[in-house]
Amino acid sequence: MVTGDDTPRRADRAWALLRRAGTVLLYGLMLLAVLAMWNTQAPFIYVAF
Amino acid sequence: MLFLEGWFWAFAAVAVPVYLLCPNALKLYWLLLACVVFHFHFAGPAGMTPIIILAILTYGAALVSWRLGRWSAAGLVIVLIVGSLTFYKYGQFLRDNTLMLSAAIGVRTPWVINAFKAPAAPLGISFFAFEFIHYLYEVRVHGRPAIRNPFHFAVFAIFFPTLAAGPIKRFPDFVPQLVDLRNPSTAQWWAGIRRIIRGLFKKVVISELCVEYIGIFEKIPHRSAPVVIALAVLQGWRIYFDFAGYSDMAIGLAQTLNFSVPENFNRPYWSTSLQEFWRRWHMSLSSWIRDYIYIPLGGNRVRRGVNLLIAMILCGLWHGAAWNFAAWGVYHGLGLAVESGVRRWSPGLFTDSWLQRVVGWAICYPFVTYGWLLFFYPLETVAKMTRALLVW
Repeated sequence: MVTGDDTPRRADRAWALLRRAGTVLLYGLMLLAVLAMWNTQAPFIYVAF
Repeated sequence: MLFLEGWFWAFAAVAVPVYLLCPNALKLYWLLLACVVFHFHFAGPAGMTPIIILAILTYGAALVSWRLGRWSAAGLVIVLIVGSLTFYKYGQFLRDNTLMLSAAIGVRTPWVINAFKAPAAPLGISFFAFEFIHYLYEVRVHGRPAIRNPFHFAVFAIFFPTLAAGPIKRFPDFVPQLVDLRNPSTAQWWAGIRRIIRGLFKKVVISELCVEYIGIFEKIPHRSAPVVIALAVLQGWRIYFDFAGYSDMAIGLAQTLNFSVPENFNRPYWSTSLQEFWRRWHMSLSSWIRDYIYIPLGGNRVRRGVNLLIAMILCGLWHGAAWNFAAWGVYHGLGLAVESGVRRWSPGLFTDSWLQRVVGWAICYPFVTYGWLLFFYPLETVAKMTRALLVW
């Protein structure tokens, strides 16, 4: 049986798009914070290991 | 340092894309070249030479042991690796303590000890040593086939994402990945990039914020109990985000080249027992200690408490040549021994009920957190801090 209703598929696509946009935004913000606080003098403390 | 230096990003911007564009048959050689350049830049000729010598000896001894059945070759090189690690990393510490002890008991020390000055330890020697020992032990004791291809062994030895500070690789998992080098899928590659960004965030943002606050609390002249607790908690977060951030970067970088390397952390501060903590904290090191120190000592079969103590003291000293690291090892060793005793006598105390997990966490987290004071501060300072904790 074929139905013309593609609402669930559209909802899935919208949700996937939203998730992707959220991921890009989140990682973009993380990168911004990293660049804002960048400090090459900061040692990795365990290099002494 | 290393992953935070501009040189590293310029290097990665060339090394990774060229690796991805390389024909599959040439990837191994490009990867090896990139590893050599990375090692040379950060370690210099003086830092590279001892590692190259140890690597050649390890490669040869494993082949001799495996092909000719001469087990002594592998054993001899293991002794040599331990000797080199002791010389470079603990030479000065042993010399200083010998002099102090001789002065205390009024014995003259030979001029060799007086004049001894240990050279700077080669970059990542602790990690090289542990990977080489693991390789020789697996070939010698467990009879695993040695790596025949010298290029495979060289990449295993100086794989640049994990060269400086791990995760400590295992050759049966790593070397098969070198046999058929292919590019990662787009999804895998992006997952690697996301992992690198998460690592940078943990290190540059969270860990550095902890360092700022530690500086503020350390400036308070009167270290009352709340100040000491804040310092211990912040130091715990600092080392976790610093090291987990580094590990994320190393694992993510390996992922962009389609390599899988061991994980190092699995939410360790959620652990509800010390045993669980050590299964989740610096996992590549703790599993190494279990497999190559604890089990050969007798493991759970004989003198369990003593074995735990020895393994954890060595684990503590591996982090650095100082008494506070040894004390940190003793502290965790005793904690594990006591917990293991309680487990044996009252197994009912360690079930999966939510109440027992909450109680377990409420014991484990403060225990581990107090331990960071031993890890970060000299013993006299920790004694003062402990007094402050006991007298509110």
